[in-house]
Amino acid sequence: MSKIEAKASHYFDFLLSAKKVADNEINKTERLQSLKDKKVQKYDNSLGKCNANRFILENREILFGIVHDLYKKTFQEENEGKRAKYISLARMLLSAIQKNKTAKDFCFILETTPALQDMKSYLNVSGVNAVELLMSGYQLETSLSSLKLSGDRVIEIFSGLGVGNKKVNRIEFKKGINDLMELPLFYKGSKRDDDIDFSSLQSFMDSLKNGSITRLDGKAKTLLLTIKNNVLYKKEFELNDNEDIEQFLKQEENSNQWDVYDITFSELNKIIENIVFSIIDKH
Amino acid sequence: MLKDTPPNTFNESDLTNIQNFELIQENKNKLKKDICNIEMKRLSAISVSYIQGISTDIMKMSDEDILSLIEKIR
Repeated sequence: MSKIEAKASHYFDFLLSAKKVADNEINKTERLQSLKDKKVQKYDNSLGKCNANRFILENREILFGIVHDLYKKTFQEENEGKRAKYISLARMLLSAIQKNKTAKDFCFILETTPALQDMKSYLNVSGVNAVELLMSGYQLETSLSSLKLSGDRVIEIFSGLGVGNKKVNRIEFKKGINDLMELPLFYKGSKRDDDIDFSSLQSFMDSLKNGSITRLDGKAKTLLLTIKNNVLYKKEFELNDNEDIEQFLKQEENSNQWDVYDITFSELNKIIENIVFSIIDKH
Repeated sequence: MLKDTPPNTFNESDLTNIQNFELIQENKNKLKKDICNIEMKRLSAISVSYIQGISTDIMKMSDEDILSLIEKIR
């Protein structure tokens, strides 16, 4: 065997060894992928059987983490009083899961113990819940200036001078109400870049309460809202697609044309009314 | 002379696999992690169902029963 043939042979042996190792890894990966697919299917089945609300489902691992921490602390703690407190907190959290309680209730439980207050920031809170929590006063501290949940600033409220030097209270929803409405809220007739003032929100609520159809033109979409039998309905359109909107309104008597909003009117009412009342109290 | 190897035992895709070996390993490790996470999530979903299926009011359970319940959940 010439020198060059020996080198080539050596190189080829090396490649064959590498191929073997790579094939082995690929086989393992394929088996793992198949196992993962089966696990996902089993997981979906378990989730399908679970009737818990969205907040509990999204935060169950964090909540169980807190419960297990309390369990550990119970055994580490020598003071009987503190032990009882940890068990009591775990009991409340487990009971809240059992009774399918809302985000507000869980936050209230955590609020009662300074050591657990920070845990709230780990909870995944939806936009609607965030607004609800805001209105309930959690993390409000001394003013309505800001709220942080899940690391995001949800809402900012500030005062300023509006048209004609009139003092206006303006609100900017970073997350909460945008999630609720799925688009930035701009009252019809207002300029696109206007912030909402509270009289407009009140008008908005009054309009909904009267059973009329309210049109909201957002940045990207136009939204129609209405209430039938105390259920809030919505219909989304391309922004300012008047032709489609008119066509829809001709057939709107048919409830099937509307999409049910994932929030009851009374919840929406509470959220928005509370915003207004908060401001009235403040100023 | 090169070894007498059947021609089909080494093709271009084998070479690609060797070149992408690190990527294949990364995928494998990621799959392992995913499987662990999915399993943990599944167990926690089962725990929620279990808790919600308990007929006794948890608020009325004794301290011992609470500790024993926590041991059962994931």
